[in-house]
Amino acid sequence: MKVLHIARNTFRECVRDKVLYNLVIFAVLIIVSSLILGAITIGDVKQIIINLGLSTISLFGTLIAIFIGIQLVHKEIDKKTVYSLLSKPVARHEFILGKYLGLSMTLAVNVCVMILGVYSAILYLRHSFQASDVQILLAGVLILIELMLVIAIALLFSTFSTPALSALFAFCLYIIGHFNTDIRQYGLSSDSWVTKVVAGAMYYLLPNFGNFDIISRTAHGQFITSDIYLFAATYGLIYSLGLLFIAMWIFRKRDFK
Amino acid sequence: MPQVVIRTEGLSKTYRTGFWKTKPVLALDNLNLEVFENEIFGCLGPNGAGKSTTLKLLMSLIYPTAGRAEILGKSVFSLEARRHIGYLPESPYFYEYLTAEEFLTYYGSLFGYSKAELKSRVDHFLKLTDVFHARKLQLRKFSKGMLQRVGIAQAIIGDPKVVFLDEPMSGLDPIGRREVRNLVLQLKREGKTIFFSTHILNDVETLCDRIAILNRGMVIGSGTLNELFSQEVSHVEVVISGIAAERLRELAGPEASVTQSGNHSRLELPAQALLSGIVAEIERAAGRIISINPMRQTMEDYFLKLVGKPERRATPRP
Amino acid sequence: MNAVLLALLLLSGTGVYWIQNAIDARVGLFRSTEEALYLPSGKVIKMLSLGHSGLLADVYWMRAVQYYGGKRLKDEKRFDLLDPLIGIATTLDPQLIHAYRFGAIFLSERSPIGAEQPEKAVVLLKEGIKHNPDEWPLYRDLGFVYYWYVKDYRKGAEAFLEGSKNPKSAAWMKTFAAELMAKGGSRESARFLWQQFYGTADTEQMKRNAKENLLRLQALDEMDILQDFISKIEVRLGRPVESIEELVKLGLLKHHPLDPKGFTYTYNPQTRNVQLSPQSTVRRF
Repeated sequence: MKVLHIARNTFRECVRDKVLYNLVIFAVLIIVSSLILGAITIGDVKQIIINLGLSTISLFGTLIAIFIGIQLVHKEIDKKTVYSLLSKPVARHEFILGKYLGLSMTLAVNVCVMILGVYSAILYLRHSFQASDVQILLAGVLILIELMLVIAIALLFSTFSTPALSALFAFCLYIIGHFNTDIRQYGLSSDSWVTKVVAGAMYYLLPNFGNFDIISRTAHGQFITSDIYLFAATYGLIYSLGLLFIAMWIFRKRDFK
Repeated sequence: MPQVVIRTEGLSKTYRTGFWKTKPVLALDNLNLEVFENEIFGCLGPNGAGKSTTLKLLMSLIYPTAGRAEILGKSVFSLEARRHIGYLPESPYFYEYLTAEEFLTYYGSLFGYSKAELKSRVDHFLKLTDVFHARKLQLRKFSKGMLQRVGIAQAIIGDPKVVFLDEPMSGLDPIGRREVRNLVLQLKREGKTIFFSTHILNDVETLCDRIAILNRGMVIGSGTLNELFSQEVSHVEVVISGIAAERLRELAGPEASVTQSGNHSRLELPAQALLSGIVAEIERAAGRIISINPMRQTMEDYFLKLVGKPERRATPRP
Repeated sequence: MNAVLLALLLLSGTGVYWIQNAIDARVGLFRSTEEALYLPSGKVIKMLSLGHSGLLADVYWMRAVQYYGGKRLKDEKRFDLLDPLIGIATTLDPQLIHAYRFGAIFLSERSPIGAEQPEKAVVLLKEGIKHNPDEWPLYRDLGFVYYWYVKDYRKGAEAFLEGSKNPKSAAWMKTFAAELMAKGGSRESARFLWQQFYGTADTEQMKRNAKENLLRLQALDEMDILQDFISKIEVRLGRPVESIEELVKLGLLKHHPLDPKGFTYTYNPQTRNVQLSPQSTVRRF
């Protein structure tokens, strides 16, 4: 219960953050401009709208997740609001969970708004929907879960590192995570035993964002089986949980000088 | 036998500083403290003495390197202990994007009150600390004094049995200080125990039942004010006119000290006994006595002596 | 509580490992490269890359190499994605010379070594030449593809000739062009070209591939010599030879000749041909 109170306050904190608004407005603008883009390129405009729209949601969502995520814990420690908060009957791990849920809720709302934007653009273009368009919503859900993973990464770094370093690490992990499959392939085709082991370890330990790659397929209207969604979503949630457990552990051990 | 609400046993904290975290810094050494129910207990000491460290250890914001601490018989690490305490941190900063009302409601919600009860509590404490008129204002717009009062409000919103205040008067103007003082006395009237740390001696003198004096991480004195330093007369101050300072020094002897200011001379005598003899000498030398004042040892004198700095006098030695 | 967290952490760690494997089993390890099939085109990617096209080019180039390597590892015979991947890489960075070279060889080579699509290699190289007219090795590679894989000696000669016009080009290009026009394909020219390739190979795979081809040519030479020897023996003996072992037993050969990979040569009495052993790993084309 207390976790929800902390989450609600975190939601309020995020929503009143100017940075968030700027990013969201910018993202919506890009989605709208995809219609203009469609006019100047040859090829399927709807495909471009979906591609651009989902990629924008993913990219801006990541920016929000990182920039606000790295502050979540650090700001409270820096401004010493943790002092009065933790003197209340609330456990430290509840604090971490509450912060995480608060930002996740914020991003959920953002993703919804932007998905509506994508649907609106399609409606404006085609004046109707197809059955395969429901996959855009599913893609949105998966993107949200991907973003929740990014939040968990940012939050984890936020428990022990300064914002600048946290942002750097989070971005690095994000980028490496997108090439994780390539690293794995490199390891598999390498002759060196050491390379194989290191590449394999990296593959499983580092977040594998490639699991969430469904944007292109969604844009093509390709049918994606439900188990791909389910497995990818489960991966994201369990990995996030793992990171949260580490964050909780670190936060519990901390001295707040 | 009054109940012990706060107890520490051998409480110690060593910080590890330096780049590789190898240099140890002893912040608190073997603190053994007892605070009784419904008393105002002052924790006194110069900056860096370990007052904040003690408070943070009690709030389980930091972990001890040795020893233990209990509040109301429960370990400070337990959630149960925190249910009955309130804490006002030093120079508090609260969420500036929240209004006073939202802020108190948020903190109050962590105690598990029902929605209706929470609302009435929040209103009550907003009024008590006189910030009700600004309840819809964002905290970023609050003055320092108002923030301090909001801080006290958040400390007592859970109706705690023990209230911890870290330098509650810091940075306040005289009006603010008076308000906080009155609130503290009010809390005592309500049966609460108050533990506060400060380096302002005057606050201690006027508020505390018992105190502990800390320096460099160790307790160097504790007990009631009366127990700690005698109220006996320490020296006498005589203000004289009509006699030159040098002549006065001759008359008074080596144990006295003389200062000149304008027409008057000020004579400080170490003990009462020499007074009558000096008075006679002064009159014989055709001097005029303007005033005689017995001086008691001030708390400041006691404190400074204890803390090891040279005793400061009201006027400089010649 | 800390113990609980640790236990939960280990639990989630195992969960992650398990799910990742489940995903890999369903979607396949190459899904990032297979995404290439669903991408609009290199031009669109370039647009979206926001100035990082060079980096992306390297990524796709690397994926192409890994794709090729991975396919070889799994012993698969088709390389459908090789051309699109290299195509995207070179669209993103038209100066990616080693991509053109790699593509030229492995698009052309016969299955299971390559994609067996020399026409695509030609298109790729022509694209490369268009963007890098000063890069004379591309002409050499083009000539080579025409000569060795497409077997169009005239076009090959034209390419060599065109490339030789560049003053920085290797001296042999001009004479080689003439020789090609005159004599068509000869083993000497083939060996010469493969030696050039071996010396200028960019990647380990290309170097190995050149070596394999050179070994094949060496085997062909040795088989010719053996063939010749057997014919002469048959004249001397006045009867057909049955097998190479026979020649060894008769003491005409000191030991059973081995091919460059260490396998025995065999003789087929029906076709009267020296052949590679069925187990031999020497390339057969």
